[in-house]
Amino acid sequence: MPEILVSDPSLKDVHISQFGGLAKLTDAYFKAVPQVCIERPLLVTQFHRESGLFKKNRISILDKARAYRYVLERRTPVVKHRVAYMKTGTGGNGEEPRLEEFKVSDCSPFAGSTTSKFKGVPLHPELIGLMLWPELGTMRERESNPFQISDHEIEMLNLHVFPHWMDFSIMELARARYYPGSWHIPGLDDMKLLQNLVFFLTAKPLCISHTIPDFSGALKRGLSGIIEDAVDAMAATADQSKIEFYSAVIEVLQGIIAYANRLADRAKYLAGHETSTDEKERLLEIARIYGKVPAGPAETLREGLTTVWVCWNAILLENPNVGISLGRLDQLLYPLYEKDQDARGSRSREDVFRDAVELLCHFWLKIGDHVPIMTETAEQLFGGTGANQAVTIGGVDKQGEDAVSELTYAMLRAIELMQLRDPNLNARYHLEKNSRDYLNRLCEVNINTGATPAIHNDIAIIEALHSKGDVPPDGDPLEYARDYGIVGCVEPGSNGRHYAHSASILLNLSSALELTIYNGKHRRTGLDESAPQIGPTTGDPARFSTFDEFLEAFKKQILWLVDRATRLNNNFGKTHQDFYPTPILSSFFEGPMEKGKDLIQGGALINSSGVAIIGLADVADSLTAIQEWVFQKERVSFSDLRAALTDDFAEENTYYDNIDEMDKSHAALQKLLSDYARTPKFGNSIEMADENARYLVRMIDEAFAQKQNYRGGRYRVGYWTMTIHCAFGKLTEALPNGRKARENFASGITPVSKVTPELTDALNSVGSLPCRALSSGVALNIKFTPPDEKNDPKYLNRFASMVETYFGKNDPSRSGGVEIQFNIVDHETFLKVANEPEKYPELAERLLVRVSGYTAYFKDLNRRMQKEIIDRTEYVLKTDRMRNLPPFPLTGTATGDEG
Amino acid sequence: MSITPTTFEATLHKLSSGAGDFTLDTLLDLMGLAFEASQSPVVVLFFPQLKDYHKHLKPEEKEPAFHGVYVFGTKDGGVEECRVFKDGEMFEPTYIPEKWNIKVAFKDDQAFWKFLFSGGQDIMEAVLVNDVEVFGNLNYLYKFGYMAKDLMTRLGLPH
Repeated sequence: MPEILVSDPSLKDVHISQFGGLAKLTDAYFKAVPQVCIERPLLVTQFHRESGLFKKNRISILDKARAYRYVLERRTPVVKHRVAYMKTGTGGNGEEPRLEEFKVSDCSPFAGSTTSKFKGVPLHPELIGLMLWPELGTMRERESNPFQISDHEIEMLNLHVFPHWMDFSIMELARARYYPGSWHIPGLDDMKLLQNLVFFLTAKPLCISHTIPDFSGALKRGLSGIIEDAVDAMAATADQSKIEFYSAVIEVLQGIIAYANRLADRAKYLAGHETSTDEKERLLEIARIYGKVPAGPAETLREGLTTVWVCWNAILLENPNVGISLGRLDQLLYPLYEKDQDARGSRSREDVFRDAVELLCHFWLKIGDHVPIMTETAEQLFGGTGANQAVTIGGVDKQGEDAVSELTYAMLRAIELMQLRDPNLNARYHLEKNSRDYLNRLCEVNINTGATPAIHNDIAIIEALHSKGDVPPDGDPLEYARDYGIVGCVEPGSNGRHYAHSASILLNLSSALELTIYNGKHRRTGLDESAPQIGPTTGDPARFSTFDEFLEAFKKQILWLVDRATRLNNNFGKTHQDFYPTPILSSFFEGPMEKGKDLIQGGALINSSGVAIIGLADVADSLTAIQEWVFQKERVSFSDLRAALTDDFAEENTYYDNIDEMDKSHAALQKLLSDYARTPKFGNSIEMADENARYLVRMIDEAFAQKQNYRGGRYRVGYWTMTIHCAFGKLTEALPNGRKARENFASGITPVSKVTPELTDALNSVGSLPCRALSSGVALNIKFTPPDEKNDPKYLNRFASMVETYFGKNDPSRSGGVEIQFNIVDHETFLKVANEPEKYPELAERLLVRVSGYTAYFKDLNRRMQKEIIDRTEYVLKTDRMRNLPPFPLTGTATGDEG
Repeated sequence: MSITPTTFEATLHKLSSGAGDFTLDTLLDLMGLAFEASQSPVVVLFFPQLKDYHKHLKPEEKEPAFHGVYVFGTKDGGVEECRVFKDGEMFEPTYIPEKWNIKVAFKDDQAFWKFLFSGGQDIMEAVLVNDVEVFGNLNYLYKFGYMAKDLMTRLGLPH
């Protein structure tokens, strides 16, 4: 166990204003509007044209590697950013663009950047880059999250980049190959189901990305060491596909070294033209370090971070900035931090610790130097998201021992000081191995940032991952499970050896319920006779005599959806295999180098695909409402219930109540169904309601586990929803739990808002779900009223005890909660920012929130998502009870419900 | 008859006089007219905002010309319109080819207009009310969307 020797690991007396120009740089970062960068698409397109790749029916890994090397050798080596753009007006409605240039004073010790811009939007025309096409002329003016782009850049994309990719994006290559002429098929084929948005989404047209690379080889031996391995492996085989693979690895690694050398040369050049001695020294130090790493081994923390950063630049060149994650950086870099301590000479341990925090603050800022591509449609689905680059800290090591170190604390302090949405910090906590002090610190950082880090239960997650057992025969499944890191939002994956694509499929669970209620039809696609039959005909539930019959029909609909979604995902995967090989990521992974096989072909040691289920609590509560009122108490007939759903619980229509309700309107039925005092709800420790949730997660896990993906791995299931529970909610009509049409679903694995008055009951219910069925992660979103005083020890103590209780396994029937994340911001503060952002500019600019997985700035979220967060159950920690607060209204607009 | 500034202005006026009542026909006619007009140095002299509009179809010598077949129709399978982009030209074929790149079926002109010119919110809305359906390669729709928006912006027409 690494000892904590510094006197104050929370470094309370240090602020970013003491870190040279960092405070100014951070201000510039917050002000800066993202700029679309055309450098990558332009260079990649040029290479494809010059090499005839657009005419090929398959792109080899070597073709792709050469394309990336071509880009790495030509991209702008940015050592100092000089300008950015900021928003000065509201824009929109045909107003002139209101983005103005401003100067940036860049003092980062890390040269190189993800794009050529200070805060850039990378574009991958091979994937969904072309979706931006219709918005090229308007994205500067859009009200929410505008992007800067120059007229010249628009012209280049419109005339010289996008036209070449029209038949060559992954989505369209897959459509042409697997679904040609699909519109002639009766009903909806997989692709049309996807385009209907309401059943499921598959992410592969956008990216795979969701995984954690392994930087250990690059840090210990340098890229030159990995190149040597590839040369040796190539000499030892006659297998042409392996020779091609190793050649590709060599190509890209030499490209990365060339990029680092160009950064070093640029820094040297700038130093030569610099008049300030301090700045000259700073630039020469950059030049020295970039001349050394990543080609050679790193020997200090700064060199280590530089290696990770340069390799990260390259990884993002290949893999879109969506959920690709950095892993357990505190474990990886700790030996280098200790080396710094050993070499500190007359300086104190505290001084070196402080330097580490300063470096990490700069590093975090660099990590956020890009945002994902976001079209206006995507704004509705994922608005406000960053790149979700998860960093994992703490927990236990491969041997199961406490792995929390001073570097863990340094990372916590850096995130506390910077309050950035990226990286998405995730802390592991092992009840038996990690200290209570560490847990207290995690809670304290949550109080001070309002939203980060998320806390993961090591015991439950290690059990869940270990139980999957899909590791190679010579691997150690327990060691792999213990060495998990968080991917994207909250998904656990074995660090650097698990190609997880944890967001392969986002499944709207309520669609299965809808198909059950309407016998295989869906209200979105029509219920009349001419409307397409979507799912299988499973019978009219009005004729079912038991709840089990209903569940059986529901299960058939789920299995049908699982079948369709996985088939489509696999077809997209096969298209990636033929057109989007991954030589760069394969160079930083356990498995491909040993097997001589690309990751996309199954080169990793673990090859699962991940599914996120949206709508768990609403569907569980709907099942319970049906069980309670239709089948057990027999107070409402299924036909009446269905009629009420169809008219969205209209006041003017009535149902037959065979007992004593005075008001028999559908509206009154809605009140009955949504009232937690009268209808059992998941999250109140009521067996019937919780059992339905448990049934769902077990059944869904089993259904997906049966399916094999295109890399030979299995599917795993998680319950985290980003902002998509709002988007799917908008597309979904009324449900039997009393949720009205178009209302948001509950987030992640969280019970429905405002139906769980007692915090402990809510935590016990969620903690009773079987962790083995939650192996792709969960997001439990809990909102607390903040303490009256920031450093209230009683509040902190209660907070930490609450986490321990939730993670605890004291009752054998309990699995122990898997994950928990917080918003520690009160209702009143949210209202200020939502209603009068101009009155509270500083608060509005930086108010950080946990959405359902990732962190975001509240102001960037669309109105529906803001409402969802405001309306979440807010608990008062002292009393364990929820506050009674009115729902946040969505003001009317042309589309009916958006503000 | 080749296009002149006077004929362009007259046709533009005729097509755009019912602003707010634009139909798909109007848009397609306007687009065809603009592609033709933007290749006439005399028309461009009087309507400089049209300069280079035809580059959407043929950017420059080294770049390939845009090829695409678009079919637009009502959801009930009634009226269908087709436009072909080929060799730097846009034209209406005498019959609708069997092979096309994209087909957009919509409930009425208003639904199509809203779908084409408004942002993501209304695309979600279109899914909600089920009034626009797209078949085929979506990238062709994205290109068409940009060409249409660019034209309306150049001509100062509402969209």
